[in-house]
Amino acid sequence: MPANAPEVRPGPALPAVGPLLHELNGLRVAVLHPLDAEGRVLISHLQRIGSVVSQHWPPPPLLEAEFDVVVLAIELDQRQRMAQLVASRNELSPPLIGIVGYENPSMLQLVLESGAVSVIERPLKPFGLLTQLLMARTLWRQRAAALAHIRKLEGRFATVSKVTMAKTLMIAREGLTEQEAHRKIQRMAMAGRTTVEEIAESIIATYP
Amino acid sequence: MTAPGNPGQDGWRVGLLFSRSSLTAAVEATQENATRLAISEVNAAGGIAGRPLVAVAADAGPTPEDYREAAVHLCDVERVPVIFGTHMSSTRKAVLPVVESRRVLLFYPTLYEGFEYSPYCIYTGAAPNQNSVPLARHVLEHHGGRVLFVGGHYVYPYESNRIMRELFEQAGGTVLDEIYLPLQSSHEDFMAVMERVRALKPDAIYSTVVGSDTVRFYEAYQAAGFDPARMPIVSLATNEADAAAMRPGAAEGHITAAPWFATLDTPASRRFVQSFRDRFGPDAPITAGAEAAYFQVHLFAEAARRAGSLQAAPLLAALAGQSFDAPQGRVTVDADTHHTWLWPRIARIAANGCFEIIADAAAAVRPSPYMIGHTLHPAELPHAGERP
Repeated sequence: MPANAPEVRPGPALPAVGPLLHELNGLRVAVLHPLDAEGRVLISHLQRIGSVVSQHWPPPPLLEAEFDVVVLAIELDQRQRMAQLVASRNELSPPLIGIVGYENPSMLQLVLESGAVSVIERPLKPFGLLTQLLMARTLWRQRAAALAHIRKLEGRFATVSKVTMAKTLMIAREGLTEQEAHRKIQRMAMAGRTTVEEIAESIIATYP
Repeated sequence: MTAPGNPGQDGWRVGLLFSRSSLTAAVEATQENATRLAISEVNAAGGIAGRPLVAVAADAGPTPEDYREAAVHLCDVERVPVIFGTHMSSTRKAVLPVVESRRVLLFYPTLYEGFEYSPYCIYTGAAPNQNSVPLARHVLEHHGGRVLFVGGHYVYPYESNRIMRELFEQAGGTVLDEIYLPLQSSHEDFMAVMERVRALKPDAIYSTVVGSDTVRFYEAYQAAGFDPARMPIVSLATNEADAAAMRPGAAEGHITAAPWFATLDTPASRRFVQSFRDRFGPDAPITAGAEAAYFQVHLFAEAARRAGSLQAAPLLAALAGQSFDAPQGRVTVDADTHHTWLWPRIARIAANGCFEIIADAAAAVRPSPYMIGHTLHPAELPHAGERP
């Protein structure tokens, strides 16, 4: 194992299929695909399994309404529009499922640029769509949970470093031990009905 | 050899795909008989565009692979444009890729676990919202919420149990255990299950045991001395052919949900039973699967007459919304799902082996193979007789 590789832990809890299937009932799906024969196969099966479908083509520069999943036909001649749409998305935008007709290197490049979490191949058929929807939703949910966890850790880390800095200053200025400095910050936070982070910030700010 | 979908010299050739050696051979025999009965009725009424239907039967072996090979033979050698048949879900799943790749239509006349749509399949047996939901409701209302699941090791029991578990748990019930046995299990295997039954004391046993295993299962229950009035075996699959093969009294008091039973007392149902018995003998058992096999040929024939063709595209267009006054009541092919509007019913098996109807739908229920809109809380479980 490389020296800086993270400790290996068990994977996330495996989800049960039941609740995921219930979600499909009323799932809002943006279908960015021409309304041709294949588009109709796609839309009618999405509706058959309970989704609410909204179809657009060519791909709009951004999706105005809220969706749970986006299904996008990845086409070389729509590269500009696709890039605009991708640029409008953020890390919590709904998962994107790509539809591809072949897999040469330029198409693979487009798939990577699209940010798709999974891919459906042409010719489109009903079998397989349910699986792709579940996988895309599951991956998206795991990613959203991981992001929330990272945000929380980032916040906690910021607090810890500010308190450490404030304590260092108090030790140097007031000759306190670390434990005394820590208790003092806590008391000040309680008395001021505020957080230790805010007290630490004010101590750092008043440092000459 | 003519192209599929065109009449040959002798008429329109159509495929029959049932097995005489499978686990479910008894009920499949009733389905093949019913298919042949309906074909002869269609021909007596002038066939399609003046030419008769000609049944081309492929007697499949017992395994899904045997059904697949038989389907390939029907498609590629016999060149039939439609196939009536398959029974266990494992056999249908094996055949679907064959018919899809050849654009041949499969008419599937058996209840199954749902969560499927093939553009080349018409499903005329019950979907879970048409049999699992009424059965779960019946058990909760009349027997209680503590249930034990017993089934065979294949696709239908696993998926049907998943749906049933949701139904019971959403209504506050408990699934005490799920027991899966190999297909073709022995009397001793089923007696071991009865020991588990004795220990768990469920309010009901939901069985997804099928075919000749059913006979050994119900006989083991009888041998264990349990009382069906207090703890019935409830099933979607146990049928008249299974009961006829059991020891006297083994089926008595147990419960099955299906869209049709041979005791259904309507003119269309009596006519069907009479024609079937005239042709196949007074003691020939008739099953819900046979009734579906019968009416699906008539649905097909009426659509083919209107389409003027047996080719997949025009035939599918004509089948969408096609109705027929079936023995169970008027049935209609749902254009969106390719499943059929059916009439849920529940029967208790009497001492003489008759399935006596104890709950009866007042109207056909729309198929919902993906169980859309089924919240399944007790107050929302549709009563037999209500639309979902």
